[in-house]
Amino acid sequence: MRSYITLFGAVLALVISFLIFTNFPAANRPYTILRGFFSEISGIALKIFDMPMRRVREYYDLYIDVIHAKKEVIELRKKMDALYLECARLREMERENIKLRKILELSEKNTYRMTVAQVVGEDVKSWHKCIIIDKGTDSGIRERMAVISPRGLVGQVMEANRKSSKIMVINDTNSAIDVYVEGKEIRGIAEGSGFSTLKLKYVKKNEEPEIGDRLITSGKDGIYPKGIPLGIVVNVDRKKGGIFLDIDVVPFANYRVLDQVIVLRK
Amino acid sequence: MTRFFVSLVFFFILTTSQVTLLNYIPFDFLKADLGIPFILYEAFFGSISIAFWIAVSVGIIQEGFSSCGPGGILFGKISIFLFSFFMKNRLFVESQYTFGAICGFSEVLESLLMIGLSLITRGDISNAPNILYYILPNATLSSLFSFPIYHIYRSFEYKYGEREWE
Repeated sequence: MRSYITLFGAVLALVISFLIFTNFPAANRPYTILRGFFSEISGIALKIFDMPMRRVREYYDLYIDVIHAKKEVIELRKKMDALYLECARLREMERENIKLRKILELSEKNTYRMTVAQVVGEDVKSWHKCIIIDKGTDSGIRERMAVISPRGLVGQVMEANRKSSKIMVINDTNSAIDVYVEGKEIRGIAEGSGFSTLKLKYVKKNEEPEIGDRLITSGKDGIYPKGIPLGIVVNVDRKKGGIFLDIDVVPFANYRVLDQVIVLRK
Repeated sequence: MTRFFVSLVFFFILTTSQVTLLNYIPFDFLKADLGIPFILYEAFFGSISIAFWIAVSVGIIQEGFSSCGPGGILFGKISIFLFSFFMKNRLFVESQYTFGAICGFSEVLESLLMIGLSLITRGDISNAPNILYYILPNATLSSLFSFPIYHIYRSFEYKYGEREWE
């Protein structure tokens, strides 16, 4: 008898979980609260578990750094000399830019405040590409905020809890970003494939993207600001049927090795 | 009840460690489902009602660590519980290897259910190649991870006996 009650409960729970998945409001709302509660706990637990791991990694990195330090110092000195010259040239360009902006009466739009966050975990399932960061709504992070790294675009905030947030990275199959090919009048949608490369879609065959072209965000999707580097074109297939090209893109920011990210707060 | 809480705490520590470690190991194939062995062991060797509550708890906790749509993982875990409910008297689990094989099969079942669920509810199978790509490595790894969990449970039962452990 007891096992039949359990069976009935399991079937009922199965139906409820199905309704939650279909976003049925009566089932979804209470479940969101419950899930949020567990996400809070998991966020705190991840922070605690991440501490010793981070320390081990720091010591390992320190050891590796010491080994390579001498060689790098020589290389960096050479680079530094070159950068001094480049810096002087850029300063001059900036001055010129300010002057031109004043002339055109342009003001800086889309000013974002930045929040730096540590990556403390990764999605427990390989079905989705998601990372977990140690900052949440307490730090002003909200859903649909863009997340970047010094290399380029990482993704967007998918779920913000008080102390942690889940970031859907650009490799996820649910991710789609409006982009331009830098220096060319080509626009397309960069979609995640679930693997290490992205697909640049809706670029017509009469357009001329090439291998090595860089992609930047267009700012027209309302989530990602304009001009953030996204990735580089690694393959252009013109033989595929249809009116659009089949283009593979490797993102600049590899989410698997990210340690810190920057959340752009609107 | 002790059994339920011990399983849950053990699972939570293992999963948190796994999620933290995954962040430092740039390798996608290491995402074994650590919840399945807990559900199946309880269903096959323990109480079916405790197995149900473990399935529900594991589903909700894993959703806290994932960006999967709400209810998706919970659906999978309850389905695995129902599978074990109906197979309890039909499958004979005599060793860690049989147990590992059932865990691996359950992982495959969960992945296929996820594709089916996305197709039925959203008409979307864009994530299917991604799920199918990882299905075998994840199932293999889940099987391997179920071996130590099976042994730990066995040693608990040997050490504390049925009466106290229940």
